[in-house]
Amino acid sequence: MISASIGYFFATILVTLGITVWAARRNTGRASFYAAEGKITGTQNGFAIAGDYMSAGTVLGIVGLYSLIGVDVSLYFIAPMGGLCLGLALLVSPLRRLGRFTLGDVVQARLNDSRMRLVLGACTITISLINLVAQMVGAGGLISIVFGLPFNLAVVVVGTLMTIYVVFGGMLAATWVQIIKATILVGAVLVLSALCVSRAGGLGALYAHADSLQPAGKKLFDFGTLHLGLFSSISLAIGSVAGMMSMPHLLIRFFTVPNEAEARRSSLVGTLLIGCTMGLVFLIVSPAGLAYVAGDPSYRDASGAIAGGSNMITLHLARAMGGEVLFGVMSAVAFSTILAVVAGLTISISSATSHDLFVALRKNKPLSERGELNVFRIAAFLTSAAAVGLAVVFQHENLTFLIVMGSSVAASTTFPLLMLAIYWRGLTAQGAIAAGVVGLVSSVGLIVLSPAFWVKVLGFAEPVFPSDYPALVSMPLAFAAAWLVSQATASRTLVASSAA
Amino acid sequence: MSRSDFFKIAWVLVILAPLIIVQAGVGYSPDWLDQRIAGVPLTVCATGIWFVVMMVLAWRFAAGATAKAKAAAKEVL
Repeated sequence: MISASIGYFFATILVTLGITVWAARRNTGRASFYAAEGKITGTQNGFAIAGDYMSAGTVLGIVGLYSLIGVDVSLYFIAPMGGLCLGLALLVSPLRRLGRFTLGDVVQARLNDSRMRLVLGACTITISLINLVAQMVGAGGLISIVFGLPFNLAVVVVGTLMTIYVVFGGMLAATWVQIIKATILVGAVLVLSALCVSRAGGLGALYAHADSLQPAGKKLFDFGTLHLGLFSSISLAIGSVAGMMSMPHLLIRFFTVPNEAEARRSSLVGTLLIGCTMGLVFLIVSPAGLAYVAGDPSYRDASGAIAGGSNMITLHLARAMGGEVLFGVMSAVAFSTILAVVAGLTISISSATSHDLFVALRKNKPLSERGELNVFRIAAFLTSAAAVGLAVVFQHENLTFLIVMGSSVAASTTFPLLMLAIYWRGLTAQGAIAAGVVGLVSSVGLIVLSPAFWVKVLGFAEPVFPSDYPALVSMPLAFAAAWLVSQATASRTLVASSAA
Repeated sequence: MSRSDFFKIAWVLVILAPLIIVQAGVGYSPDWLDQRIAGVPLTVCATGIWFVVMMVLAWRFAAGATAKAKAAAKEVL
């Protein structure tokens, strides 16, 4: 397994570093590092958006999850697609119109209060850091299994590479790495799907084979086996829709295209690519994983578990269908996926630090362009160090829990802030700050009190909050805080603006 | 936010609602969903349709947003 993948591993590193060198020569200033100078076309950006969404956790993790909970994984796919549709209809155009480099620009343009940058910056860093740690934990596990490296060394390798991409190549390098990776990923999923259907002799035969290998009493093709309950089901869906609409590392991609029309085109291309690729993963690759890997004793270790864990099912399937060549290609795709997504998340955190947090903390003393870029690079370095450290600490944490946590926090912070800033004239700066603080504290607080953290991590017998999905409570709380505080401070704001 | 924007939100929620309900627990999905069409479980077919509907919705929303932007640009001229 190691020898087959090692060539693809180094080829991936060489290609991505080559792109970084090319991008570093073209980068001229802040606009290049933050937004690739707005010169990415809509179609290219659509591929980059699809690449950002289809992370290793999404593609490999969901196939593994399918082997445990079956068709119930569909809510994890389809609810975010609803978010992409609504984002396209409601957010993309105003976001591109109002923003330049970060989400802080968008809210600052509407409310003209530097404290907004502080709030948006803090929310962006929290959401992106949670996602980054999830990706790093997945990356460390995957690389240590595929290439035989210790977990800690694997995350240091990923952290070092992502620092090089971001510090030297900025958004231009991260975007092109993402475009190339998305193209190869779509191609690899197409080939793998075709081989699976061909081997089975048709789609019906594939499902019959998968069905015959299911353990007694397990009905993976029936809905409801996850036993979510109505509250958690609604909360997961609402959190996924709103979270997808407001993920900072996805939204800043709309600043890399020249105008609103291209931003809309990129959102449409991204949604269609995600729909087609994830549709194939759900309809063919996942059941094929059940039929040819999970049901085959030769892929299980001495304890009876899938060799290398359930995240490895896609890679085992690639080897079973296409031999060492397809296995190597899928391993390279998984590795490049990790590198591209962590680079995008690091840019999101670094730009929020240098362009929002640092600027807000200095109040009326703006940094020079060179100074801001230095802060961006230092932030990228510190982000990598923090992500490596946190990935080591949280290496045994459930990946899905970390990803849902990021989505819930986004649904409770950046989502209400952006929607209200764009669509509600009554929003005051104090109301927006209240929404950000209440959303952040309530979503993180409820996650800590949930069964996944309170019981499984902290070891208490009973959870304080009964669900792992807090968005249905924390998101309305954030909206309510914004409305109440805006109503209370509206007259004061009016008097102040009249006096000015 | 215009009335058509509220309709768009409602559309997405209405499309998602059945999926949210059937995933709540074992007793929530109707019995006829346990059947198969040409060997493929109906639950899988239904999920495939949800994917297609979401992609069509994205295409419709994009077309609507483009038409709205063109109309706004004409008004300015």
